[in-house]
Amino acid sequence: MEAFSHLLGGLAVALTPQNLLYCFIGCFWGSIVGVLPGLGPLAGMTLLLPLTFKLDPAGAIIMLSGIFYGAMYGGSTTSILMRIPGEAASVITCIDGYEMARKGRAGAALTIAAVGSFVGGVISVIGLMLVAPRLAQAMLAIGPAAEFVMLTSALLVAGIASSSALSKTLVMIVLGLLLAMIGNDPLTAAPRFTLGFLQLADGLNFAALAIGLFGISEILLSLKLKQDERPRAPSLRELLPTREEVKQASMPTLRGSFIGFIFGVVPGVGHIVSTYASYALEKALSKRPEEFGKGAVAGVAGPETANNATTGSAMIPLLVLGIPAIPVTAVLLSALTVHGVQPGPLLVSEHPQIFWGLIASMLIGNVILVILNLPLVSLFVSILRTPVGYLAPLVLIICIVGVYSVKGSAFDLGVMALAGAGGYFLRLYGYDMSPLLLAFVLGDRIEVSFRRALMISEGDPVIFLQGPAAQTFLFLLVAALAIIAGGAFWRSRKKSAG
Amino acid sequence: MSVTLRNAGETICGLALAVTGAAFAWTAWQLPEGDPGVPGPGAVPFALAVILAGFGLASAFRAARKQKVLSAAIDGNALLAMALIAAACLLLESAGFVVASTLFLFAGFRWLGGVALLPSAFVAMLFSFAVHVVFVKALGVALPGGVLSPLLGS
Amino acid sequence: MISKHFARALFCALAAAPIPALAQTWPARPVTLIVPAPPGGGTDVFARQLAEMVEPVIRQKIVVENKAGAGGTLGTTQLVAAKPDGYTLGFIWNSPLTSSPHTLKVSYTPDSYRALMSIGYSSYVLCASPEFPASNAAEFIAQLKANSGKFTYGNDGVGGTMQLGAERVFRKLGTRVRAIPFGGAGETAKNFLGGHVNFYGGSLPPIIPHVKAGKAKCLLLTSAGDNEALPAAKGLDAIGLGAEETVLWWGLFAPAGLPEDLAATIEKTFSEAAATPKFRDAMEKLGGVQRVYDAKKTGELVRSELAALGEVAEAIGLKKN
Repeated sequence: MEAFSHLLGGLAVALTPQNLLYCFIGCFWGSIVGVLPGLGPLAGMTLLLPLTFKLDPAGAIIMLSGIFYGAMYGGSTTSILMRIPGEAASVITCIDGYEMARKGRAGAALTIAAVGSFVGGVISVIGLMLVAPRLAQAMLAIGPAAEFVMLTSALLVAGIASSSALSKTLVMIVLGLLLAMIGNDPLTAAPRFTLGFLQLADGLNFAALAIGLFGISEILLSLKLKQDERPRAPSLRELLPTREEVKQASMPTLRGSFIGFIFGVVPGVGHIVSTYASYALEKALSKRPEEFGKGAVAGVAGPETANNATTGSAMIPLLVLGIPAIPVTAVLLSALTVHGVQPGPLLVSEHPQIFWGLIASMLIGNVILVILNLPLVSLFVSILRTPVGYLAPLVLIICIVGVYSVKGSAFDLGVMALAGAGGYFLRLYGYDMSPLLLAFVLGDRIEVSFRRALMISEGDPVIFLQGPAAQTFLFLLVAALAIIAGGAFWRSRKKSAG
Repeated sequence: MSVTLRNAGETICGLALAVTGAAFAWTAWQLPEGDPGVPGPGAVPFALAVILAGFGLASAFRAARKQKVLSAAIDGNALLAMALIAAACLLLESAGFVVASTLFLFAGFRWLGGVALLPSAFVAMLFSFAVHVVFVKALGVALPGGVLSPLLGS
Repeated sequence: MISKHFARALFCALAAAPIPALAQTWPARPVTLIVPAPPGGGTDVFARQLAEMVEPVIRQKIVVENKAGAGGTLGTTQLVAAKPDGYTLGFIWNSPLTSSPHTLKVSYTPDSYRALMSIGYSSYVLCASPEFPASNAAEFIAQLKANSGKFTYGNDGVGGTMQLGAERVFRKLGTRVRAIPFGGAGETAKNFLGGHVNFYGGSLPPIIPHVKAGKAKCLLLTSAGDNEALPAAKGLDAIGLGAEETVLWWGLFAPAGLPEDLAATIEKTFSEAAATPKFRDAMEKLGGVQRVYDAKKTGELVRSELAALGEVAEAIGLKKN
């Protein structure tokens, strides 16, 4: 009950006309940068950061965090319409979202993604409100050893859920891990596989790799598709999800909210891992897992909800510990410290108007976003009305601009082009790109936490079995593998019986 | 004497993965392996590279012996598109975005999409200019002006 | 129409090229300020605030370009490769100039760039958990000496200024503390608070709230003097090692070959902005201390620090890769 009286105080802050305006600007701007491939929340926040120096701290963080969760709404648009991930957290949506578009259900997919984002966003803000301090303590318990166990488990479980043959999936996981090793070694600064390029010192650029592997390779493959195999624009009547689709989306949306909120505490990569985890779970629980990869509604609803549900919990380390776990919250941190507000354990008691004002504004912002995004659905699907001869080159040039806009680097364009060609050949021969990307995202953290843990223990591997955090994750891994194996067994029995 | 491979593409794909793995392994071998128990920068990549090389060989072997042939032929248009992408990326910084994009789109519309000459040229120019304006003016992204930079005022 | 535009373009191109970059005319167009750090960090915020204060004086826009990567060496490399015409400047913290050259292959030396001024510094600090059996700097050092090789401390990354600064002190004390590198001070703080390493090593702002909340006690600074924000911690002067000071500092740099008079103009403009009370407040909010050095003093600081940290890097076995 105490939380609610604080929340009322927060609403008083968030509902002042000026803060409401900042919230709207943030959400609007976030939607735009989220839709454009390449540009993500980080770029969007950086562009508006100088502007916030002149605002009061509550207004500054309300606007900037609006960009953050606003971008998560828009990220699915290009994934669904063109199979280009708008940003990292929408990679998995490319699979079934795009397949839905090919069936003429682009409008339904976009609507389900927007509503799922809303539900996930709201549930995660409520979670942030209720359990933030306790979750922060749990996060501290995750040291390098537990992080290694956790990320390896996530990679295994999510990777196995891929639609390609198991042997090919494993090859792609290993290749993704290897690509993640490119760049200067984070622990010794030794350059690895950089071929002397300074641009590779920080590793391959994620946007370049993802847009190449998904967007470019898709266009290359689609060049020989016949008209009826391409995504088609739905008529006005087909825009909304059918009753059946709503039914299929409802439970995955709820489950996705919780998965996203829990995974939001994973340092750095929570928003991406949560989408894979949600996808894997929905596939394991589904009565018709063979539909996944062919336009399953749950394969859009779950992950799109999950990535928005991470936004609330991703704020927890910043607000409760003063530690930014992802680059986006690092920008929020500096927006606050510029005003002399240092987030940390004392933030809630010293600056309640900031903490509760932010929470209230996130609730309001999610409402603004769903109102803003639903009408846009019909606008976005009209992109699919572009005549076929024009579409492929236009999409390719958007990919090029998107990758270039991330860092202004021509080198990254080379990476994108090579990834596109590589992705084309690999996909031609039945390799799936999504496990590769997940392995790439997790790769350097897995390796570094592994070596860091051994540095702390001076080479004693028992450290990976010690401590409550590592043991919890080991238990979860076993449980997840049991569910997957059990599900497969149950289905095969049912099939043979029926 | 000729050996016909039933599944040439997939086999070559597996072999390419094996070669990639071998190249990574060879490079990683020259990196410090670390102290006993505490792996250095070379240890983890070396292990991964060896696994990749092994997997690649295995899948090449399996593909070569497989009865069912994946009906996957490389498409000429795809190769053309790859060449166009490479050209656009190379041109971007020297010629500037508007020029590179116009040329790329024009070639793409004509040869990939089969669009007529005039609409190709018109749409290519219009779209390139519009993207430039939106990204540079509204989004604050620095796209290279190139040869047209005095004209574009950037 | 087209020919008219083209003629104008040609004219502009011809007209713009031969104008010499003289101090009297600088700046005739917007100035690019390369920041080799990601947006949102201390370096970026200082650069943006300084730019904002200089803009009305020079009546031109200053465009901040974040070129992060490879510990700041990527952006620094771009700066030294730029034309020395006063339209490309760099706002850089000391690590890419004085630490990274010892562990990374970089293409620049102090002769490749020209120091223009520096704005001030921020100390690094070593902190222990509240239960640690030491309540001041002297007891802390006694513990370190008695338990050589037993404790671990988290730092900002191998070969970074924080690690070299700390190792510089440990070496003088004749003790070993095992370094565990993390991705940044925030990650170090998280692992320190979770008890995964014994000491926090990093900048002040991330740890100060936890000191206030009684979750950490900070004991030793890497600056010579003490710091008001952490009254319990002592500077290196207090333990007789003031000469081993290593701090984080920020300065303005240009590619080598910048004309003398233009360099003087830029130095004066930025120094005046950085010396204002308004900028001091801005720095204090992020845990920094205002200390404006001129071009000569900044250049000397780079060279002496580069040499001192080179010795440390060699002594602890970090070699150039």
